[in-house]
Amino acid sequence: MRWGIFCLNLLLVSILSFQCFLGFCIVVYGCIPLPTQAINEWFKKNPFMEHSIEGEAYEFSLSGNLKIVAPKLFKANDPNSILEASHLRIALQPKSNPISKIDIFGGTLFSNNPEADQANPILNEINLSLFLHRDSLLIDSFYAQYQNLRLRTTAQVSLPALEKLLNLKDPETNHTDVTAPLDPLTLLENALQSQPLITQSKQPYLFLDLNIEDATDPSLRIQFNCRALEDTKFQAQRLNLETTAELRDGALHFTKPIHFEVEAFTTKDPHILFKQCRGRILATSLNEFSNNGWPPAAFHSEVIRYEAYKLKQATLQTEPTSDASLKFFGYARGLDGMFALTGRLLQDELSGELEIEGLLDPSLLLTESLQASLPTISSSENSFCKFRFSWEAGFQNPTSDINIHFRKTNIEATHFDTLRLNASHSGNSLKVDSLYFSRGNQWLNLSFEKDDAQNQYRLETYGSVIPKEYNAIMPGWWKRIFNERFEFNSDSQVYGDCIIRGKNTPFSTDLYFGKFNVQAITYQNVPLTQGSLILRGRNLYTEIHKLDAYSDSDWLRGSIQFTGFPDGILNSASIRYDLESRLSLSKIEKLIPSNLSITLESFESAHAPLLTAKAAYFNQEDYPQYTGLSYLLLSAQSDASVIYKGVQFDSLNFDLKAHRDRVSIRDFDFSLAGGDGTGRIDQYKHDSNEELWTRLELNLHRANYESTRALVKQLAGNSEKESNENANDPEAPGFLSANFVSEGPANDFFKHTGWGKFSLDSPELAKIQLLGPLSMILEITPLNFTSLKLNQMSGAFAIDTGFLKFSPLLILGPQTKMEANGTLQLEDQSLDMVLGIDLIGNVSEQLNPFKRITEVLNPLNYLMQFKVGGTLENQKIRSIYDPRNILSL
Amino acid sequence: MSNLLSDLNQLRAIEFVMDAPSPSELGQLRFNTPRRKLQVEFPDSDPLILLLAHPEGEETRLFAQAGQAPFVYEVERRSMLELLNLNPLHYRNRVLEQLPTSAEVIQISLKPNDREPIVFNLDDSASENLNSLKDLSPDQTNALKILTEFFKRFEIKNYLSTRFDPEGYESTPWQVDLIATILLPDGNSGREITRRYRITDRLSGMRQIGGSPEHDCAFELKQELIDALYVFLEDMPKPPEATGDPIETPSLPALIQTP
Repeated sequence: MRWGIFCLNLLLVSILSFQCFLGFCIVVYGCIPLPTQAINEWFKKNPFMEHSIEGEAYEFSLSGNLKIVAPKLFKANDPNSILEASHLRIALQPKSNPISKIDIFGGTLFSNNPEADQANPILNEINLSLFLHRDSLLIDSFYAQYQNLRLRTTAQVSLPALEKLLNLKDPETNHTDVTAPLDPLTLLENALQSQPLITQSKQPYLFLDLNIEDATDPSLRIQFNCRALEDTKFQAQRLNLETTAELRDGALHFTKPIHFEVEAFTTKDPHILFKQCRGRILATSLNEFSNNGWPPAAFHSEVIRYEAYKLKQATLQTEPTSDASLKFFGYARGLDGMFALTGRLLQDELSGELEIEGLLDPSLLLTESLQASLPTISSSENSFCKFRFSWEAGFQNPTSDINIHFRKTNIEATHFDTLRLNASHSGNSLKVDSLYFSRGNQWLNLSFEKDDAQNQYRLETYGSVIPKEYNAIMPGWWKRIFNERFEFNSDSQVYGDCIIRGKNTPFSTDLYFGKFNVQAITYQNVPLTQGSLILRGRNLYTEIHKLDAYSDSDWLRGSIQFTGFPDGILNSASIRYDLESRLSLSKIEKLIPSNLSITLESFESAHAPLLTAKAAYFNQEDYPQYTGLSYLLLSAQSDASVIYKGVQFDSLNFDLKAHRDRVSIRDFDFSLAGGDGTGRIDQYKHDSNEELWTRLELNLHRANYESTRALVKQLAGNSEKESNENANDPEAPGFLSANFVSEGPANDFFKHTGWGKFSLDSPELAKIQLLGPLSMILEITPLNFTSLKLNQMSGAFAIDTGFLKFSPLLILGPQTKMEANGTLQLEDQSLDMVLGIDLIGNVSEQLNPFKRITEVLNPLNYLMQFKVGGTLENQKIRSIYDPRNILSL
Repeated sequence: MSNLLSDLNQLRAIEFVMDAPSPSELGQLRFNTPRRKLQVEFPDSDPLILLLAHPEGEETRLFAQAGQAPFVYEVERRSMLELLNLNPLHYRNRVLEQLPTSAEVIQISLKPNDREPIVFNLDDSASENLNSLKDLSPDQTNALKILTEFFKRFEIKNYLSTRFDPEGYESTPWQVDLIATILLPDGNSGREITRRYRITDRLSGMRQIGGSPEHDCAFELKQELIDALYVFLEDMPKPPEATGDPIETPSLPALIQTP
């Protein structure tokens, strides 16, 4: 009995002590510590789903929570823990399922690699709440960190599915279930480690909502965002992704499109920026995101920017193709228009194609610097454009095909109805297959190819244009050619073709060859009815070849050669002419330089002379080595009348040679006043004083005297009206023949020296002006000389510093002989002569046997000596032997 | 023909003129007697008809109506009429002769009327009086290669006449004989044939006329052939100052003798 009471007391004391101990523990520690060793041993012997727990301490609180301090979770037979935490709390309840909730704080999840000496952490800072709800395991408020990734997860897993997930063996057959997923830790580790989204992003955040009703069909809702994502190929700012997926065969299988939104997405090579981009990716697994492919996607970007080009509101779709390339298509606004986009991208080698087709302003494709260097292009409506770009691997060797159809376009102030461009460009070559424009009746087609590999270019063009209308957009040399000298009208046509071949570097024009036909244009006020020429050359040598121009019935043919050198001097070193023309003097006057045309102003002709010219002009100012080499060979033939200073030459032909400082005219023949003339002229610089010097040799045969005299007076500038009734009367009798040779200053004939002779045959010589006054004298003499006959005058003369010295001047009739000695001053035509008259002096001795007697006895031989003064027009004659008898006539 | 189809595929209107023209309006535009009617047949669909017309006296514009669509639009006149060329020669096969690939051009001769002939032995057995290929400039070598290729496949720019005139084409005389000796594979030794074309002077940058007695036609040469021929036939003697030779000047007559 006593033992019984003792034992009872002892029990009560023990219980009390235990309660006191528990109370003490609760008061001191807040919990009741449990035997660590025993519990660890128990967990080890009773693994849960092949997992056991080992803690540093076990504490039980009055609220029914079991706290495990520093717990470690081990997989069976694995010495390395797979989970460690600062503590783990298990909420217990007095039910059939005693565990209502498990909380883990400060946990670390390690990789499940039995071969590793040391476990690698997968997730850090794990905090989660896990509890059972009916037949499901609920995970709430899961937070963990993987590297820089913040991971939040909620999950609902049915217990059978969880058991199946964690147990690789089918519990019914006890065989390995090949359809079961891989170890979830391995799966998680692989998923996290392989994702560049996580490894390359800044402040990434991943939210997973896992729902596993059936282990074979776990579903997962995924949200991912990050502040930035940096890849070797692209960069993204504020990226958001959201999708749902299933876990099958250890991999994610997306069940819905991946919706994404990114504030800015930039590819690095080429540098393309997508702003405010959102869309969806129709991927079924992560494997589709690889270098070899990209799943179908559709997205909209508010802005796409590539270099200076900006697209707005672009909507694109992408599709993978059988050749592992990505095909994309869509449309966008930009370049002041709207257009469709199609293309193809090989992601593994970064090559592809892009095609743009739409109505836009193609000038905006040009860079600012290029725009600044080109004429301003403006159009009242957008142009149809079709561009095709392609790149080889690494986006290298870009090529492009350009097709632009402009309408109603202005280039500067020049309007074009239509302008079409078909061109292509690759790394080494630029090819303009066709540049065509139309402008009213004008049109032009041009093709151009520039090949850097061959270092050559070629241009071919043909068309019908009015060149002057394009001065505003053409380079300076064009404007200099087609300046105000050219005039075009509504009937004008210029048709031609031209090819140019050359080298790119250094730039040269190796060959050019073109033919141009013109119709109804005016050049320097000379109307050109029609004409053609070939323009050809090599480098700086140019030829106008086969020039053939017509101005009504006049024409001009020949060639002109221009030689230049690559020395920076713009002017040609030489110009050679080989021309033949039958142009009226008025047209020649307009065509040749003004300093030469002054000479022609003195000429008049209703007919066009035939001119043949061969000339070489050397630019000795820039090229002194060519000094003195210029020359001109000119042959002029005019079978019709030519009027020079009012003097009409019925025909005029000459050959002219000009070289160095000398001009020689040979084969100079002409018809003047019914007579024929020949001559030679030399003009050169005098050796002594560099004065321009002339040598003349002129011969005139049987010209009408009256006409000749009037013409000479006109040539001398004395054009007063003739008082003599015979003046300018070509029918008046009298023939003049003369020849003379002289030399002297070119600009002052009165200072010439030389000699000459002349003869004048006229039945009415006594009435002629020269003897008119004398004839009157003879008429009033008592000797009745009115019947005096004079019909020939001749004489030799010397020309000396403005004087004609006659020695003597003979005036003859059938019986009479008059002899004059003296001078005629050329400048003022003043006379200083002594005239002797022998009334029968010309009777031959046979007819006048008393001649010698009469020579002695005839007092008239002495009386009829006259002094002739005054001028040729106003002669003063007086008798030498009767000074009182001064006759002023 | 392929160019025609390609160009037709790229036809574009320059102006829409009428959405629903009445028959009288179509008549005014003379669509009842169109200037051109193009019908394109397809193997498994209805033909496509393109009508081009312009009003009486309106020579600057051209209107079109395509397919079953009623609307009328304006097209570019010149290029459209040029595209639908009515000359049957325009659509004739422009390859005069295509030799087998094994054919070998062994000699090419250029015989200008006014100059010494130029002969190239391409089998490199040139005798002394022939131009040695080794002495050719790169341009000449390239031009000779083009000539050789042309004889293997002689393609022309377009036909001018289906008759060969021994004197020339219209008023333009033949100036050069272009002759090739070609070795055709025939048995063990092969067989030599000769091809001869007659060529005018280069008439412009892009025009030179040829004739073939064998094919009885006159034609325009392709640009590549014009350029290649010009390398050997260029008649552009440069003045001495351009070539560096001594410059000759005319001799002047003796001065006039004066006392």
